[in-house]
Amino acid sequence: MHYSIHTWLMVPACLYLISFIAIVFKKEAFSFLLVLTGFFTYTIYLCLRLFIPGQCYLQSAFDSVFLTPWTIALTIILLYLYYRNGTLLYASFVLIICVALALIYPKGILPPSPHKLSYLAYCFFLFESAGIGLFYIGGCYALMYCSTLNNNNFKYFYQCIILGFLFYSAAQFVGAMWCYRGWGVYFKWSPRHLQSVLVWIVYINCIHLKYIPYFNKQKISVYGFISALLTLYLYFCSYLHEYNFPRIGN
Amino acid sequence: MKKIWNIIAGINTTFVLLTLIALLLLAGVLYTNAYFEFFASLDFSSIPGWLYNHFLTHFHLIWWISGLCISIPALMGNMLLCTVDKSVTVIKNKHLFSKKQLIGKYCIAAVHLISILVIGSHFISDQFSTIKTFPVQKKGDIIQVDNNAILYVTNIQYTYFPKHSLLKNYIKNISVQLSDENGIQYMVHSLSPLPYNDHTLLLIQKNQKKSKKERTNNINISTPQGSPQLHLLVKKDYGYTLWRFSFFCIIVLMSFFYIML
Repeated sequence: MHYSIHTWLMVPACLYLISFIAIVFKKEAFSFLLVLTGFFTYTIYLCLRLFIPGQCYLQSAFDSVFLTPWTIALTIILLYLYYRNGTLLYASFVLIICVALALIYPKGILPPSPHKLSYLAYCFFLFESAGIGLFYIGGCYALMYCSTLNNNNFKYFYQCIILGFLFYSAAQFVGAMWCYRGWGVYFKWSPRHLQSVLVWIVYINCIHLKYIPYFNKQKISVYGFISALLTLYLYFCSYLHEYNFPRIGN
Repeated sequence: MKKIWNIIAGINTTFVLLTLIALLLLAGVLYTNAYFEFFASLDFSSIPGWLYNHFLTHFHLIWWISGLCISIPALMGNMLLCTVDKSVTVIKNKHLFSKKQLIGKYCIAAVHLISILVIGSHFISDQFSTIKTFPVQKKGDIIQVDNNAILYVTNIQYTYFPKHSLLKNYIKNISVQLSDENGIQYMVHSLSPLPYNDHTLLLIQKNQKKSKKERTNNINISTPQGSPQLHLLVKKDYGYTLWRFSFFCIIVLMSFFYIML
């Protein structure tokens, strides 16, 4: 019974796919409705994940692979409600990629350990997922700006980058505090920590490009798109690193 | 002279340095992935000493850390000069800006100056923090905090997940009870450091290393997991306090700048 909940993940995956097809065919309202429905079904899946071990265990829902699509969908919904612009819904393509990754990824939970059971860990995963979700969406709008040169797309891209950077900075802060309490140091020379700093530095650079005359909007967008690809690649590699770890309820 | 100043205090230099640091970190991600154990020894060591010990023997592995040690102070210098340069210009021409614009400019200048503090706090932690590690295995183990303070382990308590849970054989929390020479009791939990006598006591858990085959095999959740190796770290780290305060200020100021202004 515990294992059948993962088939539920197919529902938001299909809804997001249809939503993207709908927006390609300019069915804006229908596409938004599907993203909204997909978000609610995905929220149900995350709630079901909480009970995989037979009791409420928060860490199950705060796995980055499964939390990132949720934060991306929430961001797209909030952006659409704020700006009421159909082009924003093209970012559901990013959602499809992230949910596809969640579909092929082992669904069980990593065995718990005392230094993972902290509110700092939950805050870290939430902020980090929100940050990288916004970076991916920003990359999508950057690509759209390069292909259409529509200034609105650049505005969306830049706002996603700024907001993503704030979330990612908060994740660095909370993550370092968690690391200090759990491992005794607030920076470790491990691939995970260096990767986080790398992504952070890349986006600090991206934010500063606006003040360099050589970089016009198109060049900044290209940089933003490459940064999003690099972030996706680095996080994909860290997910792969945990792919073979033993899991419970897989 | 003006030309040199424009180069060293210019934002183009910031871009070059940040790109260089990003490339060095990318190399670091690849190297630490391949030689995880080797680089783990740096976590509790001073960087200059560690580099000195490995410079000739492992230069092919550690060159990027040397690069970071040069490029990060260079970035700090550039950031300081750039901020001073821009701030002087803003103060001279402050009548040209609205109050909101001025607050924004001061806010950003503060973020850059505090960023230097953040990097400085890493330096303080690296150079001036003291750390002692004591294994915690049984009752009666002695923790020598400093010359005047000794603690004794009086109890080690493991809390497991509830019996109806699939996680019932996994440890949920570990608590170590300590007693000083006057019989006063202290408790250290996982993730809850204990301030004691100008030091911080942290309970650290080190899991036994498993082979790749062991990790890949299906996990047996019906048998209790072995007790982890526990260590008590006795740490004095003023860098961490400074880091926490300065990083928090940066996040508050950035949020204020981007959301409010």
